[in-house]
Amino acid sequence: MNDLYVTCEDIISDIDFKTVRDWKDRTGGKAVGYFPVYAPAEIIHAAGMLPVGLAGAGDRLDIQHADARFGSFICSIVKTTLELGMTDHLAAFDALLFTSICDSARNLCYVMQRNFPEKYVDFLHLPHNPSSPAAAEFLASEYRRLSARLEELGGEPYDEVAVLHAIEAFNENRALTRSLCDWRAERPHLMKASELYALVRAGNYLPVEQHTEMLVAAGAELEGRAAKARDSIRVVVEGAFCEQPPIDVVRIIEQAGCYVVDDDLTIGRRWFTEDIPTDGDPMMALAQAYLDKSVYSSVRHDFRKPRSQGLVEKVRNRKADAVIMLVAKFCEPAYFDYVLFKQELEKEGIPHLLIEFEEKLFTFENLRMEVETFAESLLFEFA
Amino acid sequence: MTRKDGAAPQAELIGATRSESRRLMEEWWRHMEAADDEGRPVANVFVMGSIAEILAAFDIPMCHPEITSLQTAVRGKSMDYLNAAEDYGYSPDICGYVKVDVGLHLKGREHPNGKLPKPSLVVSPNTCNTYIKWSEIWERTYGCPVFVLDLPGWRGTAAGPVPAEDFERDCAYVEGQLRELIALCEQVTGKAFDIDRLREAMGEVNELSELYQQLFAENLHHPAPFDAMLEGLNYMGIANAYRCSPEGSAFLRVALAELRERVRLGLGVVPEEKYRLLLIGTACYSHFRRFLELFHSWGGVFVQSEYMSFGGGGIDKGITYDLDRPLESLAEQILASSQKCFSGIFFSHDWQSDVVDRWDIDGICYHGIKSCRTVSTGLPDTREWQMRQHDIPGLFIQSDLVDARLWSDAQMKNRVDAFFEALASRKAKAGR
Repeated sequence: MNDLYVTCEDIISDIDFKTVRDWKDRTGGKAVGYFPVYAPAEIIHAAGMLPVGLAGAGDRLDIQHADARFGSFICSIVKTTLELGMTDHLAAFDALLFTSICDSARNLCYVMQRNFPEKYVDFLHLPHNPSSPAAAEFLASEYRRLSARLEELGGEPYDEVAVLHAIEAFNENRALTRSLCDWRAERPHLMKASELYALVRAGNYLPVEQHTEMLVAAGAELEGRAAKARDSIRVVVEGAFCEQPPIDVVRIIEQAGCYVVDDDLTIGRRWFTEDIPTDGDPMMALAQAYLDKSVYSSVRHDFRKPRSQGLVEKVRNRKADAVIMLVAKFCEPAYFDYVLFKQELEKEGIPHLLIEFEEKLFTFENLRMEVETFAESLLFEFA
Repeated sequence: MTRKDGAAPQAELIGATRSESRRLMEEWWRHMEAADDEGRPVANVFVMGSIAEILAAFDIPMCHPEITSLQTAVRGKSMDYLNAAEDYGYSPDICGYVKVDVGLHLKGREHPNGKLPKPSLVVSPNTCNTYIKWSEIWERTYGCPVFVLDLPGWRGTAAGPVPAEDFERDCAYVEGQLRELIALCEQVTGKAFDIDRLREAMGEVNELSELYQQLFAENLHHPAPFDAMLEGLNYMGIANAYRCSPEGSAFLRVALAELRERVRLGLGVVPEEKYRLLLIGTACYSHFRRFLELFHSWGGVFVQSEYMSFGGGGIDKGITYDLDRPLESLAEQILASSQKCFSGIFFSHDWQSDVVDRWDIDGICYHGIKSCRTVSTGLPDTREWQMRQHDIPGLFIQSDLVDARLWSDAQMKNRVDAFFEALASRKAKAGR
């Protein structure tokens, strides 16, 4: 079963997107890449296309061209995404989709349009006012617009049944993912955080059915595992919802004395708190779910329930001892929310540590030392 | 000095705008302070989508935190507030406007110009994601309601005007939200909505928009009578603060009269206008005069700027509200101006090329700032595109709105000087 996780790590680090190319060769279909954090993959799937969750180039590509196209204060994932395009690594994608998660990402959409005018690049407007009674109808119409554009691109015409089936498939995948995360949170010594991370994130590059099979297989294997628990603190990792840290960062956090019992690293794959209904108008169901059943995130604003409350609930539900705020350099949404979360955590007496990273981080000693010191200080406190 | 038409100069017009803008800004502050002292609700709003029309219908005074933040930098005081916010936990790498404002609130709302009011209501459009994060800070601090007005922007390929059927749906969404905002204002003020008051406010904006466009047109003249990054910021500031009141359009009429007199007298911004420039980006308020000096010393004048467009709330794009159907028209026009202005800045190279032709522009200065990723992220890419596609010379420089630590005088001067040397060389080759 270790092979499964090695395979998953290979998939998530492959900037040639072999799994996407293979799928296209096999099926003759088209692939739609979407920038983090969330996109309605069901609609893309129902159009007979492969939805692929992009995450920049990580530490796999030196930036030769893109640095000159952006200002200095811009996060790495924006730059490496353009670099992927400029070095022909995005040739497998027939379309690219962006949403308004932050002001840098909005700009990136139009930089891509300007530089790749032959490629279909679309900007999907996800509502910033989820409590408005008008929002659901608007978002459903936006989803129908996307469906129509995918059809123009050569996708299947909108078919209500196909979208409902897609929702079922993704519901199943999300439920398995949630269940796996729950399982691991109860017994983190039986599965490394890096294994779970790679397994879940690999779903961004595979057809949903194939990924679901992998989750089922992983779940079955895990039941047979046995290992001794370490004396580690239980932590929630928060803040790396878009630009991803090198997987070694996830490994090191655990090696340095923590069990990561929850995180928002692959939050797009667990975007909904429960299944989306599969009866009625599927576009409205997807819209309503986005507005009312999404997890909290620094890229979504819902004044009905503060994100800080969501974080505290997550900590309590997972019986976590502390929070590690893992923030990508120049990530404005995360930087802003750091203060919001910090204040709430301090009010609740929950210890926390702030670590900044870049996707291209390659030396980890400082990070290891910071986490070790943090973990040890808490272990002494709890002893 | 005589006018070109031989008539005597109307001396009282020259300089009238500056003194009037000072008076109006002072009055705006006193008006906000009075409302706060008297316990009347004050709304915090943003220049990129203030929805002042509805707030004015309820006579809710509006505080513009972007304006109050920049004023601290112009007065050389912004670092005090930035440091306070960073000590509180905010990263050095986020918007300086927000941090100055946080610092102001941490320091008892004491501003060099007066006392900032406490917000009773916040209206935040989504034109900038930071606005929403900023609003959440006031909500936590003061428990005031935040209304996010969601304005869908450009979507689809070949960024440009949204197709009619999508625009209709967008309008329906925006109109629905405007009605929700009205209900919230009724709750906050205890007053019933008066649609005739709304019509009045919208009528003022129609006039303001027409006058603002006329101001821009004056800079088609050679020499340009105003600098878009000097006097232009005054016009913009007053237009924002007095968007829905007669004083706003009265001020722009004063400004226009002065500009027309300057044109008649052949008065430019600098003794000899040698280079006409377009600024893409924003001002640097911490080094406001110095920034302009770097360009003026070469005879360079900013005859146009994108800043006066998005920073002016989109009124340069032409707003003509239909007062017979006020709410529907408000939704349509706010959406249209938002889509042109705010989505437009991400893909404005065609607009830039058009401005270069119409305003006879020699080069474009792209001023990226750390504080604003909305405006700054793609500037170098746009510059590269303009140079490659249209051979339009561009200068890319970086500093900040309010953070003086990001100003490097030597570096800025070197880059600006090199730009003008290149422009001079182009002109010499072109035999001009």
